[in-house]
Amino acid sequence: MTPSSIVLVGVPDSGKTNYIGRLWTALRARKGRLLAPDVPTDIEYVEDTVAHLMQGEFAPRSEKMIGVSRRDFVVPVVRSEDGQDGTLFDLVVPDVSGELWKLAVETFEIPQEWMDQLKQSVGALLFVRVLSEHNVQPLDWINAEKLLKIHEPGKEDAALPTQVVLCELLRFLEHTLRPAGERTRPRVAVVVTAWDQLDRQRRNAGPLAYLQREYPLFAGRLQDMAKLDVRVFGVSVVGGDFDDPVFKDKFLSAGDLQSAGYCVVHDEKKLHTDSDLTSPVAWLIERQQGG
Amino acid sequence: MMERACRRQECTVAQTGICLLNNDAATCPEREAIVGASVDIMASLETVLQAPKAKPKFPSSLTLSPSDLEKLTGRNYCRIVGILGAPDAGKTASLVSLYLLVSHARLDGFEFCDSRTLIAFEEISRGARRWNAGKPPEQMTSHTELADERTAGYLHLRLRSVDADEPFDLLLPDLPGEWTTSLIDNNRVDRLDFLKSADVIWLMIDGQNLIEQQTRMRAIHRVGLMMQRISKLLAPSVPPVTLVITRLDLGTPPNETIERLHAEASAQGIEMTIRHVASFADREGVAAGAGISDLIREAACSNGPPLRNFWADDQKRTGDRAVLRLRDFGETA
Repeated sequence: MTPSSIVLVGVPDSGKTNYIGRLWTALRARKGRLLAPDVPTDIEYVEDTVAHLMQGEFAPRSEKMIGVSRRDFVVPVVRSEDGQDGTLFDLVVPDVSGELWKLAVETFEIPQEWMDQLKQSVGALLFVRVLSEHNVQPLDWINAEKLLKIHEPGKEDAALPTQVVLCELLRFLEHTLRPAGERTRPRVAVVVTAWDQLDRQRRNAGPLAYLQREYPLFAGRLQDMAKLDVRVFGVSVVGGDFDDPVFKDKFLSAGDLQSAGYCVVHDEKKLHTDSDLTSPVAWLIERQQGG
Repeated sequence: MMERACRRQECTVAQTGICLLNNDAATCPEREAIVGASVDIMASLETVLQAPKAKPKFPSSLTLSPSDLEKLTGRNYCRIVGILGAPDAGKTASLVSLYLLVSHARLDGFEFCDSRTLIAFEEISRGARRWNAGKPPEQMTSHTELADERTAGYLHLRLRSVDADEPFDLLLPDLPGEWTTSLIDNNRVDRLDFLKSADVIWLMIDGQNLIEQQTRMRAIHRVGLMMQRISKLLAPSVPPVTLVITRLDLGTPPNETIERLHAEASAQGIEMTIRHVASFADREGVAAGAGISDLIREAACSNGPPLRNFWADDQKRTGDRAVLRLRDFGETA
């Protein structure tokens, strides 16, 4: 039987690559809710990211071009509670940069292979990165009035606001993901990366409150979902910023990637912090009633 | 099947059926030259170019055509706002300002839930889609693929009322002002049939035309005509009408003008409210987007089933809406 798939979705610079590198080490460590029973054949892509993290650096943005032959990182995972012989789920990490999704939002088109991939997936991780320089703010009144009055060719091609892109990606997932069981909805884990970059007050308010403040359209959309089951996670892959020399020193002297990083999630109205970096993926494939 | 032709250029059999050499056409020895069978010509040619494979598409989030509405209205009751107004009345500016308020979480009393036309809102806001100057669309049709063409259609917004903690759907037609002009001047009503399904009508008018003496008289006259036309079109049950006076940032019209506008409405038997809005704020003292949340509040409480009323009493509705369908047939890939 073909394993069920989980797909990763996110715009450029949304933190997918670094999360996957850190997740891979967590899956190998076998201490979290999910584990990888075997080492996949091709792990070059993910090992490159791990190499960066282990040297106290974040991996640079992946610049993979669309149309170049695809070499996905596919790692079969099982629930730890089921042991090595449990049901396999394929975690599919696309070998494309976020450009694929950006283009899909702009044109509503996606290559056939990716449409097929989405349609056979039972869940997705949707990434958004805190304080990314690529985040695009919504248009304001002053600029909108100018654009309406004066037609400046080229200006209309300006990048879509991040919250609009996220809403559209969610709509695509709503349209394509398949439920794992008869009475279940496909799940989407929204992963807010670089969570440690926020000040204490905003961290304490939790990831949904962050989205409500920064991306009101996207947050509103998340709270009005009929077809998808959505949960928002805040994720810090190593627990700090490698650009901070004090943190970097501390990280390298500790010499243990496994003890670095955490996830936060609202669990029954309480903000819950978890050192298990597999949590977002584990929630996607946890057993559901009717599933 | 093979065909044979005469090798003599002067052969007249094809034209006259008579051979100049007095031969029988069926057995003529000159008819030797063989031409490839016509039915096989296409098959024998090699394909030079393959038709490009179309990539699969997600449903678009550009404006919705009337046929697109079925899925949406089958799922939820959608309140239709009939928006009319001459070119430059401020219709587009109001829609853009509404979208910006929602985008910045500044629509007082409401939160965004969903929009099936998010990219349409975005493109209209940044002027990427404009009415074709001098030749606006003639009908609401399916969306074309042209990059910068603005097509007449519906914009969708699903909002949640913070007070009632309940979502509701709005459909806002995005139409060129010329459709209103031709309603007034030529009584062209064929493409405004959707007004019969409207829960509320917004008549948009440029406030500056009501403030300045030179333009005031004509502006009131045109509003009166617009009301007379819709009163006749929608009789006997005209939905609530809101006269939306734009450009509040420039000031408000004198009281006598407001009274005359009310008198025009009364003369047509129309229940009319007047609202002032400032889509943008060119002068200090008025915030951009002022007055728009009031419009939405009224639209949310219009004709349709009231919020927080599970057992909606459709007898209370004044209109004869027929848009609500009871079944959602689901999406097709």
